[in-house]
Parts: sequence; structure tokens; C-alpha cells
Amino acid sequence: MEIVSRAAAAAVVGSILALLLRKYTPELSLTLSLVTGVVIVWISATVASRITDLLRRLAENGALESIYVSPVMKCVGIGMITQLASQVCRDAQQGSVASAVELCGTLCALYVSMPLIDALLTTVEKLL
Amino acid sequence: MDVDLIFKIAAVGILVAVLNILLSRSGRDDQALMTSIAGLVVVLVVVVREISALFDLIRDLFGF
Repeated sequence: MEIVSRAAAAAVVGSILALLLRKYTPELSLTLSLVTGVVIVWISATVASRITDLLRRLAENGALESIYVSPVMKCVGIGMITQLASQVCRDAQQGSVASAVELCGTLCALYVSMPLIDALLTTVEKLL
Repeated sequence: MDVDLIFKIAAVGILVAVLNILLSRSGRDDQALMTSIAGLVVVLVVVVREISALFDLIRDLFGF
């Protein structure tokens, strides 16, 4: 609860300050909004660490196989980084750079999830 | 990493904006441009370090 309120306060303050700077120094306004995003993700990382700890423990106990969990978590991380970067590029009105970053993120996510597809294929081959 | 960073960047931004207006009103547009570039470089030096720390954190969290 207090994490959400801290994140919300940081978001509102950062947005208002970025709005103040937009007219005079647009590049610093963009940097400020980027920093606000980074701070908010950093605040929420404490929650994410608990979740990943739980998943890691499940994987160690054998409830979940780590070969299946690891691609999912990696995809989440790739998605977070890609989203942050592409939204900043879009704020700077550089849509083409944003799409390039998103394309790279998509390809990397596909590459990371290749073991899952491979496992599915092996299962199907075993069935046939 | 804390909320203080937002205020730090905003303080640099306001300072640069005021200096920019003062210098361009007194007809020294070249110095105004240099001021805004210097402000941007200072902010970027701080920000890049924090972004790198955040990406390291995300890699540690989600990379099994």
C-alpha cells in the first residue's frame, strides 16, 4: 500500500515538474520524465523481488520446472526495459526509434522463449 | 535511488531555464545555448548511471 502511494506521489510530482520545464528546456523535461519512470520502476522493484523469490523457491522445490519459469521471467524483464525505453522515445516524438526498440525487444523475447517452443515440439513428437 | 533524484533534476532544469532566459534577453544567445547544453550533459551524467543501475537490477531480478 505505501509502495503504491510513494509511486503515485513520485509520478504526480515528476509530471508536474516536467510540465513546468517543457516550455523552456524541453530536453531536460524529457530527461525528468525518464528519471521519474526509472524511480517508479525502482520503487516497484522491491515488490517484484518478492514475487521472483517465491517463483525461484517453487522452481527449487520442483513444483515448477525452472526451464519453464525462466523464459517467462526473462520475457517480463525484457518487456519492462523495452517499454520504458520506447515510451521515452515516443515522448521525444521519435516514433521510428521507438518501433526499432520494440522490434528488438520482440525478437529477444522470441529468442528467450525458444526453449519453451522446443519443449512443446518434443512433447508433440513423443505423443505421435 | 530515491525521489530526491527527481527534485535534483528539476532544480537543474529550472536553473538552466532561468539562465537561458536571462542570457537570451541580454542578447547572448550563444552563451544561452552553451548553458543549456552544459545542463543537459550534467543531467545525463547523473541519469545514465541510474539507468544502468536500474537495468542491472532488472537483469538480476528476472534473469534466472
